[in-house]
Amino acid sequence: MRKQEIIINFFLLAFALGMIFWIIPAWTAEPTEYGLAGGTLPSLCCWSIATLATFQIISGVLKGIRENDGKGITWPVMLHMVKWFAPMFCIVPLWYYFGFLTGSIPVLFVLLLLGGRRDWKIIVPVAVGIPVLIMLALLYGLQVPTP
Amino acid sequence: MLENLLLGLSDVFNVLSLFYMFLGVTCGIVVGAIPGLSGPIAIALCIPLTYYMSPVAAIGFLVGINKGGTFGGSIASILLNTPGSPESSATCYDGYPLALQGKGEKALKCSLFSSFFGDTISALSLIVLSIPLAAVALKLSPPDLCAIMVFSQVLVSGLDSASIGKSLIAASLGMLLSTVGMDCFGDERLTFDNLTLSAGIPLMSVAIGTMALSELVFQMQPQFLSMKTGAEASCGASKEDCTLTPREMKRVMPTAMRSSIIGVVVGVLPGLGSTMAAFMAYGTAKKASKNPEEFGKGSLEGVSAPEAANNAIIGANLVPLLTLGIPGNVSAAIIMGALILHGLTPGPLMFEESPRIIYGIYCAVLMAGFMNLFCGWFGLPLFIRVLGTPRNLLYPVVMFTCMVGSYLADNSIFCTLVMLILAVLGFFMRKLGYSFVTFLIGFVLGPGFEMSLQQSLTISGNQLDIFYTRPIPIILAFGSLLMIYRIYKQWKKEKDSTGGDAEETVDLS
Repeated sequence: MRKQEIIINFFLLAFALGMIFWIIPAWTAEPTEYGLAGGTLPSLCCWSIATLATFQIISGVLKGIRENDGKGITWPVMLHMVKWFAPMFCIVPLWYYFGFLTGSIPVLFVLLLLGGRRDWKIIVPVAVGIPVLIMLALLYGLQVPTP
Repeated sequence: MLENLLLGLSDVFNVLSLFYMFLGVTCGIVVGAIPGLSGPIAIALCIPLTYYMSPVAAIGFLVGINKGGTFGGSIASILLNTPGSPESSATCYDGYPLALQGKGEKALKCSLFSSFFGDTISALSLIVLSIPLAAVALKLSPPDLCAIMVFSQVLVSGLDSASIGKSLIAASLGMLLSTVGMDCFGDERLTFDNLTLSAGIPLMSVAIGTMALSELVFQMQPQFLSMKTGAEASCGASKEDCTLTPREMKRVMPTAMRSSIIGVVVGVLPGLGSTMAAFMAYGTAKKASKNPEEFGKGSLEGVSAPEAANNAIIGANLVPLLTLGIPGNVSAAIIMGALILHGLTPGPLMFEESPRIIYGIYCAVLMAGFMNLFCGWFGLPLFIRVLGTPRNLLYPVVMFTCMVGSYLADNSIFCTLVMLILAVLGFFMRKLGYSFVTFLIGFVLGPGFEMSLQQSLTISGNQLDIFYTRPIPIILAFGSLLMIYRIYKQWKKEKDSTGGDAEETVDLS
């Protein structure tokens, strides 16, 4: 098993134990005398995650830990993920503070640039036209308020 | 029954329902034809639109997308040798050689004809099998349902990923996520005092995030982006090479029939999936063929077999969904979510409470097959052109529609935020080989499982013996253990054959 997978399993184990001992007792209702307590199913799921992660760690250690051979999550992959998700996460405050159209156009513009497009004659109409079309469809077609 | 059938027919045969179905099939074919995108992604993206439809029109629309998406996948397989969806992989073996011979259009028509054949057989099997199965399902008690759900989850986990451990972790995570919101007594659970979370995490945010957006970001990695996406359909091919003659149709008919039956049998069992059905049908067609040496070099039977099988899955998958409330695959899980959004609970009671909708769904599934044939036959040149759209233009636009789609779940920006967080999780899961299919099925099954567990414990007065004193839970518990043991044995065998590195078989690219 790769070193990275062992780390992931340790993270899963810590997450599950954190949920069982801190989060679930704090954020679920007290058990009643009859039926299933609110915390039972989440706890069952977390125990299952903890057990399976422990098994994976033990089997990984027994089989021998290998270095990460450029697979799974690498720095270029992390960079790729951050590069794409960062502008998408920006849409949330942009929609909230500036509205749908003003928030959407720059994000779509950046996504097109990130995709490698540099032809302004296509980028600009697409980045402006698609949000406008969607806004019209939402407002007049589906009659849904835009963000 | 006749009255319900007529009412169901009237729900389907109206202009609006037929238009939605047409729209669904067209969207499905277009999305399915784009390499890397598939029918379930299109379904996840289009769920918000179903809010504004009647339940039958919504199911017709979603089934239309699924059917169109499956056929669309074969367009990319045949013309580009890059399957649009995993279940179309087997179609590449003979479809692409046919395209290289200038018979791309003939291969596509053969695929369409076989898809229609598979669709029709599976719709008929849905009609024939679901009512008797629902009658049996009504006799099942809550502990039996609990056991069936656990067994289905183990079955799906075992077959969807190379590592059952990772798959079960993903399923548990999905089920854990489904517990956010209200518990069985109406108390808030894991909401962190956030009012929006008290309604639970919307299925749409989960589906769009883990399935569609994470896949799009995954596909935008440089190694995928450099792959060719444009297609030059068999230009300049003779009319003879473009036409599927009645003689050729007659030749592929037995293969299509056999493969459809394989698809139906595999589809009725939760978790086995259309990819497995397609490869099983291909293998069986090759064994049964008089000219097995033609397979892999451009045999029409080689195109017909996987296509008939993977389309036959669609209707058959609705059998466990409608009769037991258990989705057999990810598309069925999303369709189940759409039914719940419309206030319907899939399961045996639906046959008693909403027979009109059940018959409407039957008619919609049957009609969607005809619509797929119609759209596919006449729109083929247009769909082929879609393959030429540059990925770096198309994907950012689809990413943006994902964000808008998740907003529509509750007209809330918070849903978009949740979707984005889940998309990051989905991306990690893809990279690390955790199954997002079992994650999604775990999420969908979670509330039903908790309800059955709650009912079982209430019946037994909180005694767990209710689970080991009844035959069905005992049999299914043994079945689950046997399943885990078989997967472990298979993994061990693969490990031995790959020189102690079975995990390398997991795609971590």
